[in-house]
Amino acid sequence: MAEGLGFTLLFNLFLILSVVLAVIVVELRNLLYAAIVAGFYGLVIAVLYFLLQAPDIALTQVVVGVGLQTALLVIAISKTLRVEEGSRGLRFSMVWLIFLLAVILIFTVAYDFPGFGQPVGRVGQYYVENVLRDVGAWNAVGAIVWDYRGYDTLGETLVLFTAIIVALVVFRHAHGKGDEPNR
Amino acid sequence: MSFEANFPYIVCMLLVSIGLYCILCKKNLIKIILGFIILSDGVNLFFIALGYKAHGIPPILHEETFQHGLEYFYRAAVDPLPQAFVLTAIVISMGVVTAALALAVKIYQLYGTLETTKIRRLKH
Amino acid sequence: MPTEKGMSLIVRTVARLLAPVMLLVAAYIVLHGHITHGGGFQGGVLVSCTLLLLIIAFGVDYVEAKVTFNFGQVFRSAGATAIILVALVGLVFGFWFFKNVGVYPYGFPGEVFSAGSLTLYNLAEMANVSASFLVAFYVLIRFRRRGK
Repeated sequence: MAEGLGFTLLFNLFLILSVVLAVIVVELRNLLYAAIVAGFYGLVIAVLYFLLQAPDIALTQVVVGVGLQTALLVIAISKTLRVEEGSRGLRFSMVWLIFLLAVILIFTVAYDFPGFGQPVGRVGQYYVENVLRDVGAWNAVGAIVWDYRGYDTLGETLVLFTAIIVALVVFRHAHGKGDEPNR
Repeated sequence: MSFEANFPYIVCMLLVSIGLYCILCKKNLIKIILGFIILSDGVNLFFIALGYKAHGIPPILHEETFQHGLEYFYRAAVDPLPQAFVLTAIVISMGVVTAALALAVKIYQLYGTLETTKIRRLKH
Repeated sequence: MPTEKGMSLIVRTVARLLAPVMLLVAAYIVLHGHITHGGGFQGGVLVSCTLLLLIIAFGVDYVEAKVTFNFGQVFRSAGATAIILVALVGLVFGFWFFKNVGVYPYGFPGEVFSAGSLTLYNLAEMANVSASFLVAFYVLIRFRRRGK
């Protein structure tokens, strides 16, 4: 990498930490512990976003990954079981398939992609150079989200709206006292 | 390119593989949702890493940027397009996680278990 | 686990002190979404997390008496409608859907009221997201587990 030694060390340390925490999340039997370690994993991912010069995404990841996602998981676990039940049976054919896929993916990104630090996209340069003239906003990411690619964000809002409607439909008799229908 | 130069990409693919393993091999529904979170984080991190430029600065203007001159900003700012996409993707994955958790809690109420192998008969 | 009665006096005092600060940070993030990093979604999630903190400290009945379920539904739908209305204004003035500069006042770049409709979009998204997750919290917390 073409960066300074401090950046490289910190960045690689957090990359390795994220993989370690992901393995811990997957292998913990106690689901409450797993949810809290997942919150810490989200914080590590947020630091990685910040080191990759994306403060916008880092802020989103902190708020979502540490706050909202952990809260939703803990509420769901408090309504269900705390400890994973059943045996630790493994389907070896599936494990071999995933291992093969991982090897293919790793060799693809290692040898077929340009080096880290050399961006592949070219359309971003237009947004960076013209955001002040076209939109007048200082935040190029916010300008892309709400002006250049507004239709994407409209679809995103639609998906969020529909997801909450799904949650409401699933619990249509749960809200309110007793068996009375939903208020 | 080599393994050392593209180490961040390899880590992203490892996260994707771990998430896929969790989704396909674990039997607990909450664990499957955690695997989905890990997988989507790996993909998002891969997108952000693809847009990174060596010695880059954030694609956000600032008073200090004007002091350095706009030419420096044009040359050094990282790609903002993957960041906008990832912002959308994070929102969508959060909505999907909310809906999936609601479904998991409802399944536990109906069947009394969260194991995918034990949910057999159809009710309601 | 959020209970229906609330927690001890220490937790309540800290929550009472902390909630206005969190709302202030959320307002800063939303209103400066087009200048610094941040935006409607981040501020909205922070608002819903503030309400979750109040739910944990004071109990869900106390908070739901102040911010009702129906208010959340109306607020969330109003936010989603406001996004479409703000985008439709461009059609009224003879431009296209999602037209920004030219319909809305341009402002001076770097000030709070600049960049056309981005501030309005951020406020609408904040309303939508905060009320959405608040409704999800209400529904998930109110749900009684089997056999209880």
